[in-house]
Amino acid sequence: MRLVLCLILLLPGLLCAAEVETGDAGLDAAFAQIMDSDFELKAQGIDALAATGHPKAEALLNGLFDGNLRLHRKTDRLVWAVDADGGYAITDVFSGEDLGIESSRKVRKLPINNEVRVRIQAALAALDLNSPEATRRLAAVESMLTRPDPAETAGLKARLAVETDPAVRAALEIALAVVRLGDADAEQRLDAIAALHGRLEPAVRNALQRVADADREDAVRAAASAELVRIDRENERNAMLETLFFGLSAGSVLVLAAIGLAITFGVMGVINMAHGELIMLGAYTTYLIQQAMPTLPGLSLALAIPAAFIVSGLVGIAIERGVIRFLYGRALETLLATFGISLVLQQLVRTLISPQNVPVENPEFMSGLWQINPVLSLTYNRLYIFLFSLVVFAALFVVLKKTRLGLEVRAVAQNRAMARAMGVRSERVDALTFGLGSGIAGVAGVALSQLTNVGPNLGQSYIVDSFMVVVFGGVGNLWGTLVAGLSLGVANKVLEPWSGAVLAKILVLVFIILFIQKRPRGLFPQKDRAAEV
Amino acid sequence: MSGLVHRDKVFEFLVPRVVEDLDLSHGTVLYMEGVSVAFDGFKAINDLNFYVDAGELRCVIGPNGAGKTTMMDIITGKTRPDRGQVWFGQRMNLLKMSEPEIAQVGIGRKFQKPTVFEQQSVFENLELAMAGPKGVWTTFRARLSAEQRERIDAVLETIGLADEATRDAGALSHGQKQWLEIGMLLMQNPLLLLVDEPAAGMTHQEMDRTVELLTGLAGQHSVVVVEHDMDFVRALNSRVTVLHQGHVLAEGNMDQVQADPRVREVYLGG
Amino acid sequence: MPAYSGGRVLLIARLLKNDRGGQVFLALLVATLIAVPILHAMPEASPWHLPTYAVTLLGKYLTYALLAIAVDLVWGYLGILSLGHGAFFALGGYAMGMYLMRQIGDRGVYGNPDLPDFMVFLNWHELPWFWHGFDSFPFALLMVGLAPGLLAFVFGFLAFRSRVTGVYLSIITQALTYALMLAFFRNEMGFGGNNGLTDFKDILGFSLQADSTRIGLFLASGIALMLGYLSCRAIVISRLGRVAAAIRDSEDRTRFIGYRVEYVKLAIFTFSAVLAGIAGALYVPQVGIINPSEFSPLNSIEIVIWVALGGRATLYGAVLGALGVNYAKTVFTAALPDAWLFALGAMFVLVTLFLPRGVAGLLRRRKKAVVKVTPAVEEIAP
Repeated sequence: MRLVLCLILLLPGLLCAAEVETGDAGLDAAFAQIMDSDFELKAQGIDALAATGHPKAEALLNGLFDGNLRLHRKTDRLVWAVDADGGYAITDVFSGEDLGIESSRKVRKLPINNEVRVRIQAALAALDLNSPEATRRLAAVESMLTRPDPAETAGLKARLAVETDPAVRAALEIALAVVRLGDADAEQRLDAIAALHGRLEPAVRNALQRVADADREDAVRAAASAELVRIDRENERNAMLETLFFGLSAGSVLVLAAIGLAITFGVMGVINMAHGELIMLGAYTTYLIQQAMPTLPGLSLALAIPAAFIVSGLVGIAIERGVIRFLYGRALETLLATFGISLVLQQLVRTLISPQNVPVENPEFMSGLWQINPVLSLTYNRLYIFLFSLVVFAALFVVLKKTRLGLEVRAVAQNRAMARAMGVRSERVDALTFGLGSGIAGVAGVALSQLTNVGPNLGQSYIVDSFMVVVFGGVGNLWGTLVAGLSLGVANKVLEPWSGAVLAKILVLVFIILFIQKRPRGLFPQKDRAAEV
Repeated sequence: MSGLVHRDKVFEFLVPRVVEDLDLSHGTVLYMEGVSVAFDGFKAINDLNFYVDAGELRCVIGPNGAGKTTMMDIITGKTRPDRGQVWFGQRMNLLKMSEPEIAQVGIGRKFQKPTVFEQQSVFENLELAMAGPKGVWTTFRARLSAEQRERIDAVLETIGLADEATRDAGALSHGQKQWLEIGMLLMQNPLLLLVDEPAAGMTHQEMDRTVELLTGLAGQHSVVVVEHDMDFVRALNSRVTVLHQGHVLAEGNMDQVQADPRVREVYLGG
Repeated sequence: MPAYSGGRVLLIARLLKNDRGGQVFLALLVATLIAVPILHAMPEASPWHLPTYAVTLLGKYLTYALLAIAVDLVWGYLGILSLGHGAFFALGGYAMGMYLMRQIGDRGVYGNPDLPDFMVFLNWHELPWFWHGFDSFPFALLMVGLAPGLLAFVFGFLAFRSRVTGVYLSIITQALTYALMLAFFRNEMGFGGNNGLTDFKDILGFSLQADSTRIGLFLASGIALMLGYLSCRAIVISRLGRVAAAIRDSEDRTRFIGYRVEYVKLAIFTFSAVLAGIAGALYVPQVGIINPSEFSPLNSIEIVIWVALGGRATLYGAVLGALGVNYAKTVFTAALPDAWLFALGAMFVLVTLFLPRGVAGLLRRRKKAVVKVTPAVEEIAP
């Protein structure tokens, strides 16, 4: 009964087994096998098709796999078939000739089963493995890693013999070892485990896990387990490094945002609530420069740094000359007035540019990943911004310690009357110091534009954090700001997986509030003689 | 303006209030032993030993930076020393007490730079300083009794500001503020008075009155005066302690101290 | 009984002595409380008719005025610039909002008699522990005072004990309200997350939509403002008030004459937080919603500008500022929505630069110029 059913089902195939006309002898031979009803023969045909080295071989294999490749009954030509009204729109595979629309009965599907599918995949992988592009070869090896097959050993070995790219060679060696994990000989398997020592790829870990769970030999299972323990330990270490990096990156953003404040608030004692908006202006400067030269994102970013420094610096000087200087010694009033300025600046941006966020592009070198090992990669933009924050910090440090302006700034901060008596023009120093702090806020804005959305509220989200950093680090202490910013960033990221991002932020805020209770003058207080009341 | 201390009348505020716990059985009000404090490596007070007897009037002199003000900061709880002991009487460890506690047990202080509550009237300044319970609720419910009012009036009389009672303290002259501070000290009625540079900004007549007042207070109170003006110190005619680099350099009456070669060196040669 | 109320009148008279501004303000307030229900009762065709929305708007302004007094008490008289009083206001509001949510019962969208809609939406199965008790109005009233009071007490205890003052204190109060805002935005907190609490139906059995309830809430706000004013005035003119001013002007000096500065601050700060909480509780049923944006630092700092504009250290000035700025805000945001933030920002700058004593200061200066001719003598009597 079953046999009869089979025969009936197979009958149309047998009857219609037709010659395929391709105009290429190798292809014709291969397709003769593929058209055969015997699936074993079909499979051989697939291998033969791959082996022809025909430029269309890969496309044909993909077409077979997807079912887009069909046979036009009337002409015996291979065609690409796309669903269309009343049937399929077909085009000749080789000539690209449009053959119009045919009803579905007129285009025959080339039947395949799962076994053949696997064969097609393997054949495609083998094709990729020999592709002239190294990245495709690497991808092919990596895809093989996820489903190791002893049948591919020969292909892998052959490739390894001619492979020159070091990354691909390394991947090939791993793949061969992973395949050998399934070898019948226990010695071979042990050897393979040894060969995989030091590898972190998830596929390697999965393969080893299978061995550790199911291998017949105790020794092999033990070796695999030991290797697994090592991999897990490594992974944990890498996860920690990653958290540390994210933390340092978040911290460097805080440092950038706070460092200008460390000057205006820390050195001058001015509470500038518009500091966040000066950062925002820096970010918008980046945006506007990019708009002016849309084809040169790299150059525009480089130009944005000095431009943002000047824009925010000038706005800062204007704020100092126009408002703050009338309020020296009245900290709470300064706070209120500068808060008003921050509202005006925000609204100005909303009105003049847009109330929505604006897109700021990352130039080529800022995007992408730095793959340190298979489980650890760092994004370039975060990495560069971290380095950038250190550079800004160092530059500021040099300005304050080594230049005439820095000397005058410190002199005025310590003893205004004395500095004036020594001929320092304290008014000018005030304006320049404030301009310096504000300009650095602008530079921070350039960096932030590469990480977050640029919108009118950009600054607001940083102002509380920045003050926290400065206060935590100890007012008037640049090093304190650096250490405080980085450590708060790290603390945030360490807490995040455990508590969630929002709660982590709250916890850090609560911690700082409690910390200020204990040490009101920050991590690195400047101890003075107690002043008179 | 009448004389400062009415010989014919003993004002209540001239009799100091003594807190129960205070044990003065050894006749010493204040002990400072082995006290040191450093600011950023600078030793403001260095192994200082300083004692004040009950009822004594003492002058403390010394060049700038000798640690005179820091010493007062330590006694009143404003600065905590790195090392050493500070006792009020036999039993009260001042290092364990807060500023208001120290003030409440009877140590009053007049600051170098007069600090009065400028937005409040002279009368209110004195009322605030008045000795008595200073808890939040009692302060909220407090009403001036006739007796307390009299006391304030008496002090106003003493410091010569009776006519200025309703003026804002901020409107007073520098010398008047000095007097107001002294008045606040009197209202507090402490056992030990620490008076930092009382003569600064005063005329000669005012200085004479201050001398009269301070010497009048001594006996019932202990008074420690820090002063720069040597004429004023001489006029007080008391024991003198010379501080130098946070340490006691010499102690004795004015003539002895002035004859001391080390003191001469610090003041003239240093 | 008559003697008792007679004593009360005397007390009020004593509190308002030497407070011309306060006398005028309270007289106006009483007049408004009487006039508004009458005007509202006028037939709708009458030009004197006061529509319900205007009553509610006035009621809202009155709660703002109470909030402004609370801020003025700590800023003007004690020298603590709190940038976090919006948090106390919001906590009082949430306490009231929770009561109102429980009053909805099974009339919510999901018709769940035990759980508020947002909890059903979040797939919660039982009421979190901190929601228990809010069915009861007295309990909710207790929490209206207790929640902000306790927060202020704990926060103040920590901050004042370690002598965090001035700008530092301002910034950590801002951080406090910022942290609370982030927390209340979280659904897991159990306060309705982003959307907050809303869709209230009735209070003490009276529909919130009914005109009479609106009038009732307006009157309650007015009376609360009056009592708040008088109690602040009682503090301000007491010796405690003078100690507070002494702390404001020279904290250290106050310590050296024997006052426990931190206790004084703690007491007044906590009292002020409770006042703010009461204001919030009256605000919520009138506007019909409470959500985490009430915690936003901008809200808190706006209160400060009401007080600054009106004139800090004069309680009636704070009221004046709250009413004036909010009226301006209502007008502006309707007519020129974009210009409001410019106006607000400019107000911050101009007031601090040119009007440090506020409008009340201007009024007082003119009065003083007249008074100066005859020296005032009787000022001191407490």
